[in-house]
Amino acid sequence: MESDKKTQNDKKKKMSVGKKIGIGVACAAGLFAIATSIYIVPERNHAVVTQFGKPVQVVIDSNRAEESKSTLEESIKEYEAKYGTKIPVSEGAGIHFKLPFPFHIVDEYSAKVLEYDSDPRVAITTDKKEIMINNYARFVIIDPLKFKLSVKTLGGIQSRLDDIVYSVINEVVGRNNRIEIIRTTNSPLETTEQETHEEVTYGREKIMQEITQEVNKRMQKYGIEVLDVRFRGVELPQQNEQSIMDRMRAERQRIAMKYRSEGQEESAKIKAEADKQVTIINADAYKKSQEIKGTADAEAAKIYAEVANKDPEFYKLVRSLEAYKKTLKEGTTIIINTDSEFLKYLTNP
Amino acid sequence: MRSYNEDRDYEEKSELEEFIDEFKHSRAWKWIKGGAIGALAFATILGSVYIVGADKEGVVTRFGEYINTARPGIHLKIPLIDDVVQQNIMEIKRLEIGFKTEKEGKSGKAPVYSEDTPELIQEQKMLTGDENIAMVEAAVQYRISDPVAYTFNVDRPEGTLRDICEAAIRQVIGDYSIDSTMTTGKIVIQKEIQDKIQEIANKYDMGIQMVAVQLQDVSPPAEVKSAFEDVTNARTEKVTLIDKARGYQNEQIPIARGQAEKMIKEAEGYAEQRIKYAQGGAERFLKLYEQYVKAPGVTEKRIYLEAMEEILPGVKKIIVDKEIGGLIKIIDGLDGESLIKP
Repeated sequence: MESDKKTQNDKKKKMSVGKKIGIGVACAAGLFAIATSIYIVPERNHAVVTQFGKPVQVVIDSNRAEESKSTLEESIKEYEAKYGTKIPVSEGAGIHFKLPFPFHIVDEYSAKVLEYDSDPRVAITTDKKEIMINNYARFVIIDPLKFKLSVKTLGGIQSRLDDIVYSVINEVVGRNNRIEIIRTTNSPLETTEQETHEEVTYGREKIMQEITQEVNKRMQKYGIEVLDVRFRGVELPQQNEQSIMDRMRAERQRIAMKYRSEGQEESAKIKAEADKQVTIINADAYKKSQEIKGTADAEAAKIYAEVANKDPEFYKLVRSLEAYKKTLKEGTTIIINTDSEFLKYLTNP
Repeated sequence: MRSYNEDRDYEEKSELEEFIDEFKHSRAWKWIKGGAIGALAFATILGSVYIVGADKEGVVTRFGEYINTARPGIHLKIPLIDDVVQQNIMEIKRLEIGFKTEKEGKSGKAPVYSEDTPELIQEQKMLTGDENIAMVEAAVQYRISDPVAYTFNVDRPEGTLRDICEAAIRQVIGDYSIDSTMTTGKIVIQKEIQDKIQEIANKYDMGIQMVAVQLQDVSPPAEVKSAFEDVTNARTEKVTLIDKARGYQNEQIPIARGQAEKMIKEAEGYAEQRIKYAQGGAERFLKLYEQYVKAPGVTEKRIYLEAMEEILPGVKKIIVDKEIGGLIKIIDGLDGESLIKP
């Protein structure tokens, strides 16, 4: 009896333990179900909920919602036509609900501006010149459904971008001359040497825009929008580098030579100008001094004339005697004609 | 056997229970209990309070969704559910292209820059519009203007900005000649790069504001550096030559002016002298004339004789008659110097 009771008690106890476990499991399952039917979509993320691999729900980020919606509508219609399932779309980050695991699974896709980078590649321009282009691209996933169905991963989109960007660059660059890729505008280049420069009609910015548009068009089927394909760098190929250096050196040598001869030219000009000025100054001074002297001579002559006019004959005498005194110095020999004025006075006073 | 076991069980249980009872009533338990509750409360408070620094703004998300931006000050949030990312919106951030600061400068100490590695040299190398190569080092300054956009919109914002900067700098440098890049065009180029970076950053909606772009150092590649230096030398030589010529000019013209002045002064002296002499002579003649008028014949004779007295003693005299003029040839001792034929 006692032992029976005990076993009964034991059974009771055991049953209650089982119950407890059962309740525990049920609670855990419930909690798990609740936990896995809630999912959080962070800001700048899309989410696609799948039911055993089939998309059943899409959450799009609110930032580019308009663009996302317009392309999503199309891809959802397409999908519904194919599989007959409706896919509800909701918008915005935060808490969202679904059927618990394993019925529904969530895949998240970044809605941030994402990056694509490539190694520098050589392209050939219309004027048959080589140019090395190092480019990057920025894109945004705007249609997570299309993205999920076509490429699935970010790694996948990189290789697809690689193919398309490469071929579009080749196409567009091949339609332009090299100068169009190097320069952006046709503004005149300020150089020491007066060279004529190739005309730029299109320019780098427009070429990059054209490439971006074309890449974007071809990438739309993957549910992404390509915002920008941009040249991080444009270089001439390595094997051309030596010839560029030689050209640069030669150009500088010419410029240096130009400066040196310009210096000589300028210097000679200045010196010649100085010499000219000196000559002019001298001539001016000579002219002026002669004028002064002439005026004085005239003045003197006038003075003499005035007095001489009082008695020209007497003046002539006085002046002649004056002159004799000055010129007939000691040791001078004079030959005097008996007929002369001088002797008139000497012989016939 | 069983009873023994039961006894043992009973004994063990009672021992454990006793210990627990004892422990429950001990002070240590109270301390632990109080401590645990206090710690939990403290953690809750700590987790629900946050401070946004004066130079920052906090981007708050609830369940991953952006709800608001917290201004500087103390704020509350729901622990574990709200998340705050603080962005410094005052700090002017700096990006270095083509060079690296190894050690920040301190007061009185210049910053230390790293050596040019092959990677840095590759980064510096840029093709100019006249198809030359320039080595460009640039510093880009910016700040976060929209913390929400900066936090969410772009993946790896700093890397993206670096890409933008490299692309913009190369694009603008590619539109100018090496000469304007190295000398006169710098200011214009800097501004153009700044605008370009801003334009692209806006396109990606990065939430940054450009502050400045500075071209630190623009130089030719090492291989052709000496040729560029020779141009500088040549330019200096040109200036020197011109300076020397100017010196010559500055020397010669004043000398000439001095000489001219001297010539004129001499002429003026001559003029003064000539007139004074004339006046003197005239005065003397007038004085003589006064006397002459009083007694013409006598005065004439007197001055004639006086002159003869003065002249004739010193000179050799040869008197030739009109009829025998041809005789001049045979006169001996004639030196021919002072031949006067009145």
